[in-house]
Amino acid sequence: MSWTKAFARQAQSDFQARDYLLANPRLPPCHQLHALQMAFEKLAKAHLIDAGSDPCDVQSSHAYIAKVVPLIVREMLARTPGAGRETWVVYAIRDLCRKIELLSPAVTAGGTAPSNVEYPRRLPSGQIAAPADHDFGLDLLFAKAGVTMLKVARARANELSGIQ
Amino acid sequence: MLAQAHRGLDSGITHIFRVIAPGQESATAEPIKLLEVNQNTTESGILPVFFSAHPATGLHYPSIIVEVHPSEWLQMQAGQLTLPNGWKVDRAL
Repeated sequence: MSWTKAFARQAQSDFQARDYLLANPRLPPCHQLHALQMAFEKLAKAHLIDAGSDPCDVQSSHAYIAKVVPLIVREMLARTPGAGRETWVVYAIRDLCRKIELLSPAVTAGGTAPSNVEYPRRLPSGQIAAPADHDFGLDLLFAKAGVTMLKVARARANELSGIQ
Repeated sequence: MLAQAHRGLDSGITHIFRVIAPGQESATAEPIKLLEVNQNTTESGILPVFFSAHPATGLHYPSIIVEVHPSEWLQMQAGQLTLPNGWKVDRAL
């Protein structure tokens, strides 16, 4: 299995894990969002590796989603006959991808990232908060272009992994 | 065709350039490479993204997209940011 396929395969598995997490409404959103962030990150890295990036180099960084995933979705939309051709879709997806990228604790955006899905952090008020108690305000079902983005990204992960 | 498709979906694109790999463009497996300047992208540096060919939609060659923010394009023009693998920015599309 190539590095590209392996990253795509793991992205596919992360999406599947998210499905199980979403099926339990008692779980805090941080868990399914964590799986989502990991899936998108691996999907992005699969495409970077395919273009020549060193697999070891890409593993050490986590700031690829906002740049790479919109390109993936855009390309898949361009290849799908009958897919929407409205430019607002890609614009909305860029905004969503930036929010998903900021879910990673490794992406701090100069300290302006509101919260991450993995580790507790100190709030501006001075209090310490856990992700399990945080409202990330990110519901892809109701976000503009969220469903399209998810559908296309998953399809791409399946396609690239070679496992449907 | 590829550039046109991208412009049709992405209103943030301001410029698209062909990128060439000197001495390698005649190879049949060499991807089409585009540099796209997009005001809606993030400033994340040079990150080439690969896409396989898709003959069903007329894309008979694989492609690599390098998307940069206008500020990064300025850095490239000033020689402060460079493409990998000896790639060169060619004509505007």
